[in-house]
Amino acid sequence: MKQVKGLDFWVRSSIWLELIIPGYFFGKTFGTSDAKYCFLDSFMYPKSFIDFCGYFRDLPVGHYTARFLGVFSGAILGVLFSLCIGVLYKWVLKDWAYSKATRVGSLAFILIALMTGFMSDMFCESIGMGLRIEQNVPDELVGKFLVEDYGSFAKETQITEQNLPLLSVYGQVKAHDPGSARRWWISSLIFMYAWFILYFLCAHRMFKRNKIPRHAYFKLQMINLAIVIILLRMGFGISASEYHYIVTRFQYLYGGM
Amino acid sequence: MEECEMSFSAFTREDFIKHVRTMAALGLILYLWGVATGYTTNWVCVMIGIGALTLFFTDYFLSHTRGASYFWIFLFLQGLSNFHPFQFPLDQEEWKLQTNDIIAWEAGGQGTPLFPGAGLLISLPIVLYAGYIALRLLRTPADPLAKAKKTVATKRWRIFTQSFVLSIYLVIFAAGMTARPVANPELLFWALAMLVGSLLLPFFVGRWFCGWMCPVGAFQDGIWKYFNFKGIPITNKFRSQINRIYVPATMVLMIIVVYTFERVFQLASSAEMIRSPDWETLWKPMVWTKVLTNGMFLGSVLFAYRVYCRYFCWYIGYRVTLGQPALYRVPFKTDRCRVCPECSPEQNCAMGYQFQSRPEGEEELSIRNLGEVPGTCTLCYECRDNCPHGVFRGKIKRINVIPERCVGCRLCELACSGERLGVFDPSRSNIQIEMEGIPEIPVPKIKDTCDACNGDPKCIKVCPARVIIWDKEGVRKGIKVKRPGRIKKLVKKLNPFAKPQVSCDNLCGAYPQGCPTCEITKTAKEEKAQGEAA
Repeated sequence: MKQVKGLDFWVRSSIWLELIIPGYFFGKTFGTSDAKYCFLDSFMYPKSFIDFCGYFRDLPVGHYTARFLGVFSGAILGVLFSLCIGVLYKWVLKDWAYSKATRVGSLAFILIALMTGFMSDMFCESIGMGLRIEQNVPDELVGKFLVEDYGSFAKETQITEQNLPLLSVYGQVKAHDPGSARRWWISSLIFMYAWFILYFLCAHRMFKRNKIPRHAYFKLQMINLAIVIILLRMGFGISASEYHYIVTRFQYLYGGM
Repeated sequence: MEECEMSFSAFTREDFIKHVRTMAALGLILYLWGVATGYTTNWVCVMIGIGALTLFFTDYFLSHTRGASYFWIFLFLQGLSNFHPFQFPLDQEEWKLQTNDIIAWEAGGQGTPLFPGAGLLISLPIVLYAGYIALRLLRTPADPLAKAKKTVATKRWRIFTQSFVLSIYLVIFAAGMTARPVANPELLFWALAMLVGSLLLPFFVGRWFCGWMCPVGAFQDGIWKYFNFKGIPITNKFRSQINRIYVPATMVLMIIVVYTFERVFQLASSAEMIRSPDWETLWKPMVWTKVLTNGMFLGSVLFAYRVYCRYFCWYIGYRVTLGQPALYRVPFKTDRCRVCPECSPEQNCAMGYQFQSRPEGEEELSIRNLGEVPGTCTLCYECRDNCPHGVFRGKIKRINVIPERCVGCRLCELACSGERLGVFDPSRSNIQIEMEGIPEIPVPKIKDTCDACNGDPKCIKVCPARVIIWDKEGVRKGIKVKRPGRIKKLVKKLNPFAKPQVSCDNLCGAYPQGCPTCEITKTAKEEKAQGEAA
């Protein structure tokens, strides 16, 4: 068998590169949650994280630099989160190097990181931005409407003269029909939690690919489950409105027509 | 145009490739010229797509020359009738309305092409050239050797998808650059590529988008590969790093930061940027990310076929990282690999994988150890198409033989050579009947090169003694001989209109388990009696 000599030093260093990316995806959201959207984001992310990034974001160094600092501090939080997962993985995979165990844990976590960090950031912010630009609605209504009423229909949306045009922005959802609203809500939830199932499947493939020993497999999946539960309890869920937003507003946003 | 003799004789293979390649190159020049002057026609985009498709599918088109000529006739007619596809608005007000006042009237919206008449002058020779290729293809008989070379279905679908998407993208890009940039069609394309191809699909199929849909990849696969351009050389050191993405990953980190600098959706299409650059805000990082995106085409020109996609395209930073836990990857069945001296999949791999080696520092995660290809694979299925041993297939169908049944008729040899080579030449057959022992008995032997005719072996069909059977993973399967059951036998006896039974008195020896036609079976009783007598 041929042995190809390659960039062995860089191979080792790239393990850390792969470790950083999921953490970055996960954490940068807190940084983008500036004063305007803090209220909206506080329904989905821990207030302490947002406040931590907010400190850097509010430094008097100019808009773009402050934004960068906010994102960067959020990313550091995300990477720290990945390193914590790595500690748990290393604890199970006793004879593995910490960097390798963390890489596996971090990459298995990337689907959740992407969902909570990247897509949530993008769509959540854009919902608020879109509403603000087009409807010129007050700040408090944006958050209340999206998260409490529209987002989950948990409190039975009240159609008023004020929020009717807002609902129409989101397409053909028949919010005035409680039955269809409920069905839409349930299907959104199914879609949302399908991602969690995909997460476990992806983790399974990741473990198989990296030759995780059989005795550690179950323990690691339990760690993944615990991470998901902790995230949900902390408020790291995606509101159903975000998924609805993807479907109805996508063409408008990117097509520009 | 190259120095090519204007004869109308039949094409040879080399001629065919040469002409299509020239045609594709001319199309590209015409396309770029058109984009620069705001005068690109739809048919040029389609022509480049068809050129790419033909270069991809050389064997297929050489075996279906009449169908291929219809393609080129279509292009010829399209070209003759389609010199003004994009209608420019006639007045300034309408232009403003259409472009949302983004693009300067002076830059491109003056109501007439920048070089009137030049389009016709430059395009007409190329249109006539398309007609010339069509005529020569009509005179070319189908090539049986090319017909015999089949391609796996997955690769066929890939090629079709790539060519289709390439044409669509060229049309979109040209539309954005010439007349209708307001809708940002090119931006929509790349936004979809980002969201679907980079953020969703990698969890399922890794870099599927790169191999099947990316126009930059299709451009390289269809055209660049056939120019045999080497570009900037890549050393073995870098080739060995099959699973790593240093440059793209660093760029991803950089670009995410850059994106979050500004609002997420403050994007500009290339057309907007080129036609009406906002010099005051050009320093903004978003503009530079856009330059990076469009610089992919330029970047890909510097390197050989797909080298850019291996190491530099920043989209793969997302796709490979997210694709690490992908649900599907092309399998690599190490036990089937026979370590051939000249590994055909290695020679044809777009990503330059070395399937027979173990890269230093990654021995544990080498392809041979993992049993699947790395996350950087684009799922082009060249390997599956080229490996005769089915190393890249999950389940394969092999054929095997039950030598005791062979009667030495050699029909299988004729069928094999006839099917594969188009001539009856038993000596070149993949199955050989050898006479062994004293007295000599025929023993069929299958060569390593047998690929079971891609799932449709002719030898099985012609073998009268059912010697050749399907075999799964080398475990011999018995043959299910369809014998009538007791009730059917009884009905047959009672039925006055039943066909008379063919019977033979002598056991021929071909069917030790019992002849399916004559229904002569050695019952257990008979065997016992024979044994006692002996």
